[in-house]
Amino acid sequence: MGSEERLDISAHSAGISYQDLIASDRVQAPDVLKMVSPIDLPTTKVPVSQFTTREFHDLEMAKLWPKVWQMACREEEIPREGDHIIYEIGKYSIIVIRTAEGIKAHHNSCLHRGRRLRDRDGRVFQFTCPFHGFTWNIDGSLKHIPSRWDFPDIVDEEFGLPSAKVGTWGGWVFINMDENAEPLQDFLGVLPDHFKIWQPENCYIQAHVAKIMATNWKVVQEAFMEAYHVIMTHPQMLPGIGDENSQYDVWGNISRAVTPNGTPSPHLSYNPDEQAMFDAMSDRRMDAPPIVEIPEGMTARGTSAAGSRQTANDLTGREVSDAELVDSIYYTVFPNFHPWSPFNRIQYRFRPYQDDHRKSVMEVYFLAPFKGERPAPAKTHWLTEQQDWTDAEELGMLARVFNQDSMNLPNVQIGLEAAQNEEVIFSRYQETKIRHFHHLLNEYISRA
Amino acid sequence: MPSLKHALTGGVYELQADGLIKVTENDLTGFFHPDGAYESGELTHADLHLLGWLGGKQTDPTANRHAQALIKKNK
Repeated sequence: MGSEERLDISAHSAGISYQDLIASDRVQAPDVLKMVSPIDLPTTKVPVSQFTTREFHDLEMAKLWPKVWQMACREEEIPREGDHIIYEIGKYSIIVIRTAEGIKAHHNSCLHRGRRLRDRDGRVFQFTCPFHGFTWNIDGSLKHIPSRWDFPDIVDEEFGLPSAKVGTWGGWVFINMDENAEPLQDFLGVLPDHFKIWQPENCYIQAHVAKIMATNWKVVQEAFMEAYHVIMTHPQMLPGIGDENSQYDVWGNISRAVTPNGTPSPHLSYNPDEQAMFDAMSDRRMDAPPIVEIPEGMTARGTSAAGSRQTANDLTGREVSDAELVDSIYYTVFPNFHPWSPFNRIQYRFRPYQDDHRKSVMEVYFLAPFKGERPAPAKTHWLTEQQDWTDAEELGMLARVFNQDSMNLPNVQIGLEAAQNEEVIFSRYQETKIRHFHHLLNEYISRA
Repeated sequence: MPSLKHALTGGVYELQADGLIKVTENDLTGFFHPDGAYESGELTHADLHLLGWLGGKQTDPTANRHAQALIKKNK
């Protein structure tokens, strides 16, 4: 990214900066939240066709997905030898399986006539094609061919299942179909260091909801990469969220946003008091009593943090800061994985649904810290295109927030399909993460 | 019935027993469906997202990050 230029960070927000805000917190934020790395990128406009055409989807299938590291599952989902999941991205299908030698990934296609070897997640000790019975060991080596005499051209040693590279970080399993790909650790760059204090490897999947969306995967993803949309899409939050005070940072393949809570939106024409801020954070109605009355001299941020600090301290063995307990800290690992800091629990993944450029899968994980024996990971709860997010009760109030986002998303797709303008435009600062994403996407797509 | 004040417009949104939302803004009143559709009244447009928030399917009101820990703590 040779054309980078540094933004003047004092120029980006009408209100208090995030750094100034956390400087007055009672329990100070960790160093990782005191880092500031704004970046200006040349990408400001993106062709509408990148969201609407089969041609661009095919480019992604040829030049992005087979070449990039991508999160496939959690290690806890495949704890025993033989446990496997099927990771599908567009037309590609990969079996991610735990073997005696570690986690491996194989392309899910029989080398005989091409049948998918596995239709579902589960536990097996060999892959036997249900069509004619060609069989491979779980390490990918050939085990058996019925009527072996009838295939004189096959050399057993050369007939192993094509594999993908595997890497792990933070309890997440990543695959890369490109055998020449850089190591995962190089690709992730600063991310492991940033998450060192949060130890995602010591968290478990408390909930996992996957919903089919009638929208291109990038359109859905980009709705969760900025706080700029809060002013219109989530107006109930405004008294208690510093949407425009968010900080946006970029490091290599990683971007980050931090949106403060317990501070009012600079868009408001009045100054809500601490109680009003907390009421908005806790979804208090005009007709209902407050969840808690903010004591004199206390702040909404401090009160919210104090409520969950003891549990967080017990889990981590350190005094957890106000910022970690109250704010939304959301990273993006290019191209489609979004780990948040653990006290908010949210993690997202967005990808095309099957091989359809107008449909996608939005996945929400709640990744929670635990003490003692690791709880079993939650099974994936699938929601259809027609279902409401509130059908996933495990998401709590967040389901209603997603319903608000979902009132936009299919309409963005419809609007893009109808657009007469050839490009969409992204803001200089608040849509930093999206611009960074498109900058990297274009790099992949432009490669020979 | 549940009601909310719009933080930007000052409009008051009140869920009615029939599932419609009564919106009062600038001395005008209108009735709307949770999906934003106008039903009746002098006010013919209201905030789609706040209508959905108040009139859409609800979840446990305490099941949010900021409220939950405090509720547990105060029990």
